[in-house]
Amino acid sequence: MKKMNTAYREFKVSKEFTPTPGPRFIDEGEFSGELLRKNYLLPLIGEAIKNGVKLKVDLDGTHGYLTSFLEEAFGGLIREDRISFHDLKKYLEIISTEEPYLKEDIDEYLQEAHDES
Amino acid sequence: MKKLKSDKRRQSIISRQRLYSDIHFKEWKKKSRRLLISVPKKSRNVELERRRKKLKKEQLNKIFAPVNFSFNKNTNEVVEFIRKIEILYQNGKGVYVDLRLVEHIDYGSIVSLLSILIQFRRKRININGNFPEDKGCEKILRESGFIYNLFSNKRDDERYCIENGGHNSITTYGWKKVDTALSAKIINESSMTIWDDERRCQGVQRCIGELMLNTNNHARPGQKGALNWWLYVNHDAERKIVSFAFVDFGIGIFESLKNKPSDSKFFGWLEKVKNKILNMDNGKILKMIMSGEFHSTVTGKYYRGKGLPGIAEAFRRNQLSNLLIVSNNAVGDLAKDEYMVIDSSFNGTYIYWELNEENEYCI
Repeated sequence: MKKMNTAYREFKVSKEFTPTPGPRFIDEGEFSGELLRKNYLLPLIGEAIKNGVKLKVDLDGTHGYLTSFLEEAFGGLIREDRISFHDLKKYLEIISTEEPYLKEDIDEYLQEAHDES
Repeated sequence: MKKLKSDKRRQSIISRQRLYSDIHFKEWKKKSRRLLISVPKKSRNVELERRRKKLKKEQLNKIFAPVNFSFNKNTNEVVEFIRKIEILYQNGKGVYVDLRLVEHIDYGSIVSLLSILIQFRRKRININGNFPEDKGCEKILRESGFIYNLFSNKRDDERYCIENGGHNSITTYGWKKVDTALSAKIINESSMTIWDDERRCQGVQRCIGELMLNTNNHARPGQKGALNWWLYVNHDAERKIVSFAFVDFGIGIFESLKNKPSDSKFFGWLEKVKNKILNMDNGKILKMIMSGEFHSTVTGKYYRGKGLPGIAEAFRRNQLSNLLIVSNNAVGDLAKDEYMVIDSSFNGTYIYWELNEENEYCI
């Protein structure tokens, strides 16, 4: 987890979590979306909201993502951890230049989790 | 004295040859060690006779492989062949796989046969078989590493990694969990064959990962990680093509849909789509699934490339080539945009694709 002096925090998945993101849940395999959410994204976004700074999650540099990994890691913040959709829209920024469509996908997962909650 | 020893030895060899004359699949085993190591010298002939009689008692049911033993090109007959073997497995009966007449073979068929025969081994049901008379097919089968590793004693939860080096190197992987580190390694090696350079191919990574996850989650209703997935990777260095065949012997896509639990977003799907799929066969429904239309109709939301539609999307983005999917009685050849039904039903899912120089997004 990298702290920045500027008004945002950056978290690079490939460096700080794993270059090979795995399945949705911990019991399905290593480096799951559930693990990323619980151990990294939840404390980071909590801190970002508290301090009023943005959290930039950089998805580049990995070998690729399973859709359910992303859904659990990001959608799960709303569904499981009850982080508000509006806070996430305000404080969470996704960086994905290698697979630009992932940003749109994550937006959709957040929206779906919000609609269902 | 010397002559006598030599005669005895010859006699012993003949006995062993007689004993194993019909056990082609098992010929790799160290016969002498297995046969007689624990038997006192004096009673070895008696022991051999006993084992010979035991073998005769084993009623193995002979199943003939189709002449064109290619999952991709002769799907119907290969599925029928696999189905017959599966019925024997379900009834706990031994099988003798007769491959003598095979004139064409592909890796998809080999991995399917391997994965079903390993299930026999795990249940301690007898298996045996022979090799194709066609030398080319025999070579492919022998070089695949299939036979020699079929009899390796693995625990149910152990990984399989069967490598066979050489010009056209082939590796078979098998496990139950999702292992994206393994798929990343496979892709790195594949990119070395294709581009002489280690690359990341995110489309193929997603494809393998989603398939592993599907097997883990859906292959057996209500039971996670109950069944193995199998991935066969063949490197053709000359043509710079790496082909992948993924198999699981779960219940297949259509049976899985029927068994959706009440908390699933697909529960009650039939009611939601019955107007659309009226008079549609499973081939056409498979097309709807792969395009994401099925998901959006059932859930009322855009599919966002989840699961199988995500794999089809990777194909459309040219991240992989020649995608073929077989599940239950539906076959989808995405390269030809052909979806059809076959007479037989494959209890599981088979997916084949290739990675080549023309594919994009490999960085």
